[in-house]
Amino acid sequence: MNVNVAILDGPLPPAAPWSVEGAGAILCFDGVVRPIEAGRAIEALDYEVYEPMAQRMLAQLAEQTIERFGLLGLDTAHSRGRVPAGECSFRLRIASAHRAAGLEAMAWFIDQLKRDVPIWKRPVYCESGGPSA
Amino acid sequence: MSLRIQLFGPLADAARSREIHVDAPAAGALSAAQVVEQIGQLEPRLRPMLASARLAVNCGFVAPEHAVRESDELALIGMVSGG
Repeated sequence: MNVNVAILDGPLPPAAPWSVEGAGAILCFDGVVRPIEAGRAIEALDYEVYEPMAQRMLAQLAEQTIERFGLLGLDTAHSRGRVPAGECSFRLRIASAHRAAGLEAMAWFIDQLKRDVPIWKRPVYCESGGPSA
Repeated sequence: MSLRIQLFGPLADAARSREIHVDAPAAGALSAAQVVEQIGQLEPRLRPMLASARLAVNCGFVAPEHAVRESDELALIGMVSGG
C-alpha cells in the first residue's frame, strides 16, 4: 500500500511524480495560503503543530481513509512554520481504482483533518495594510 | 502530584503560556473532564474556550471519564485550523 505522511518546514515543494499500480484516478489537492485572512491582507500564515500527535493522527487518518473508501494509495503533507501567501501549505493525493471513491475520500479526509489534527494557523498581517476583501 | 498540560495556538495565546499545571490528590484520581474543569478554575481566561476543547492523553483524544496518570503526556487541544 502506497501511504506517505509528512510534516515539513515551510512551503511544500512541487509534488514529485506519483504513480500507483491499478489506479484509474489520481487526485491531487493543494491547499494554498490565500492573501486575505478575516478581511485583512496577510503576508503569510505561521503554522504551529503539536508534532507527535499530529504525526500520529495523520497516519491513523490515512489508514482509516484507505480502508473506508478502498483506496490504492494516499500521500499527504502539511507545513509547519511560515508559509507565504500564494504558497502551498497542505497537499493530499489519493489513488483509487475509480474516481467516485477518490473524490469522496478527498473530502472526507480533509473534513477530518480540519476537525481533529492539532495544527493551528496564525496570520502574519501586511504592515502596509494592503488590499482588503 | 502535579499534572503538566501543554497548550497550543489560541489557548496558549489566551493563557499567555505554553503550559499549565494542575494538582491532583493521587495518581488516577482525576478524570480528563475534571482536569479540564480545574484548568478553567486556574485560568479564567481559558474558560470561554473550554467548551470546544478536548484533553489529549499520550497524543490521543480520550473520553471524559478517562483516568489521568502522572506519567501521561497531556495537552489541551482547542479548535484547530490546519489544512
